[in-house]
Amino acid sequence: MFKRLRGLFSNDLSIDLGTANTLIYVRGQGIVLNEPSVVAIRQNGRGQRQIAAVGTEAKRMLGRTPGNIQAIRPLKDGVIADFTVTEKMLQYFIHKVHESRFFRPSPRVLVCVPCGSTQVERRAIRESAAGAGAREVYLIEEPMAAAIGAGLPVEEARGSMVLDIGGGTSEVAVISLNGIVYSESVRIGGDRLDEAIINYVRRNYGILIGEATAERVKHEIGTAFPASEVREIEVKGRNLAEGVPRSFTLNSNEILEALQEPLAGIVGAVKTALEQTPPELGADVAERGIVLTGGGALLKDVDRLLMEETGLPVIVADDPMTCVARGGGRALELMEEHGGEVFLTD
Amino acid sequence: MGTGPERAGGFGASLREAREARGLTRAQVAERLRLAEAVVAALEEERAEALPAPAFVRGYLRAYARLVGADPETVLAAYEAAGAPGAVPEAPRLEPVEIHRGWTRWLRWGSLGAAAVLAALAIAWWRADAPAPQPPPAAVAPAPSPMPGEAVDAAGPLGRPPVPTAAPAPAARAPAAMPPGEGPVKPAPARSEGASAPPAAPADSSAPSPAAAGERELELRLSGTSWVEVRDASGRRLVYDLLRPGTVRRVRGRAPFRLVLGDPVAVAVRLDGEAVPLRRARPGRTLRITVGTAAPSPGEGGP
Repeated sequence: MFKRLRGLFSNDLSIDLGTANTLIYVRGQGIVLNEPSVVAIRQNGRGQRQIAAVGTEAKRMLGRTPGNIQAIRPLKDGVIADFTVTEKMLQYFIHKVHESRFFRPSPRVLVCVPCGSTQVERRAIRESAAGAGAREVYLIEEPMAAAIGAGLPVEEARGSMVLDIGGGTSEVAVISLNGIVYSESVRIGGDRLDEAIINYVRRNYGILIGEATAERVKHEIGTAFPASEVREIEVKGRNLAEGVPRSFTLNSNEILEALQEPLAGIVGAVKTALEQTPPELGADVAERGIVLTGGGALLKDVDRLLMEETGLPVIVADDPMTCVARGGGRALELMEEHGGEVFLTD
Repeated sequence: MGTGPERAGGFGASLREAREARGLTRAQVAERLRLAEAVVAALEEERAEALPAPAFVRGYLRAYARLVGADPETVLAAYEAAGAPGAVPEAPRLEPVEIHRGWTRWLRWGSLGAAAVLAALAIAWWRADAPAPQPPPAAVAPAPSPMPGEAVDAAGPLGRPPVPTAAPAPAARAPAAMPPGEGPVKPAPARSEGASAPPAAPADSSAPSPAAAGERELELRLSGTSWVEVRDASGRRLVYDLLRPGTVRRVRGRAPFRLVLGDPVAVAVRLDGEAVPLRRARPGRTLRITVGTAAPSPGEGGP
């Protein structure tokens, strides 16, 4: 009852609880929070665990922590790997969004889940959102939210294909009439690309680089399709043979090579989806194209790669990073307008 | 790029110019973008009806602009300026939001205020409720003879009946008892005046008022000075005073009465006119007894 009362003073939230980043969209205010899903935990003298930092601050600690601090990414492959830490992180974020509030927040929360997640994983997400103070928790499948956020006409009787490349998973789905006709989730995402870069560098240079460095390399010179201009970046890592840090140069063609395998996995998922899509909807997709969302869509020329591989038009949505969170927020609004829970899953 | 503010915003024209500058044909662009040539033509001619939803068009324009080396943002800005529904719904949503927030704020302070008023009412009601047992006996007693019985009664719950003064008490009492609405307003005055009420003089006139249902009369007649304390069954203090020799005090209340007599030898107790023997009375020793345990016959309880 008190939760209901407090709910009057909280805004509805849509949370994209991603492996790499958590985004929160507040109804009517837009994206208010975009922080890495990282929590740093400090173990004090008596063996108690305390939260040392959350979000951007914690991410800076990733891989740079002393023994008593542990920087954790509580989500893996789009699902919760560490329940309590996820709950704490959500709590922190929800409070941060309601910072200036007088009352303890108790918002209605819509959380996006990967379509490949199991009932157990969904329940874990539901519970941890409830534990973080949500009055009601709704779940929506990520590709649905992504399609709504990208502005696709999901309510029409026409097929729209959306590919959401996230930190932990990539989801491809064909949507028509507010529903998902076909969906497929592969556990390949930004993290796998980083890993591929780390492995490549170790194999070819005998140098170990950290996750943060790999991510920076990916952002700056990563590309999915051979380009005419070759870009370079200087990186530092530990030489495995000598055991001391060394500096070396990577170029975009090497990164392209490194990324081949995970990218092939994503392309494979899209091709499978196209094979499995009913012909009428497939025709619609062929006519209008595949829409890319998620942080992975920012990888240079990934649309070009898919275009070449599938022979279909591929477009990148506006502001692909925030599509899912915005779509979730829009779904909350639509829910309010239509009263129904059209897009929701359980 | 001739992106002037002329008709149609000119994003189509600017794309066509850029394409021609690169020596590409529509078919080649369509081939590269994997679009139908008709769609490319519709883009260049800005025919919205031949194009799919804006989300797609924006994607096409961005890809086209990159292909021909134009700045995608300029082209998209021109597209939006041409009246296309841009990044869809942001603008119309802002206004209801403002209203919504104002409403919530109003609601928050409103409910806080309401809670405060409720709390104040609750406290007022509670405090009014505490002396509320007072009116019913008062309403019963005054009916037959306003003077003595009532005065005693009014003093009863309030602790100190005796100090004889004038008779403001009945007057003060009556209004307090009449309108229940006024009850909470003046509990304090009723109390103080009741405390200074003059039971002694009228009580001596010994006009026994008829018993209300279940009430019995206790008479105390003093031959010497003694502390006397009388409580009725509900624990109300009927007498609580040092009484002088020669005093006759009559009180009404529900039996059994609990008595504390400072000097029991100096006190004669009668219940409904019958003498109550104080068997264990010792001069100078306090006596605690209960009187009127058995309904009609006066009996003496244990200490």
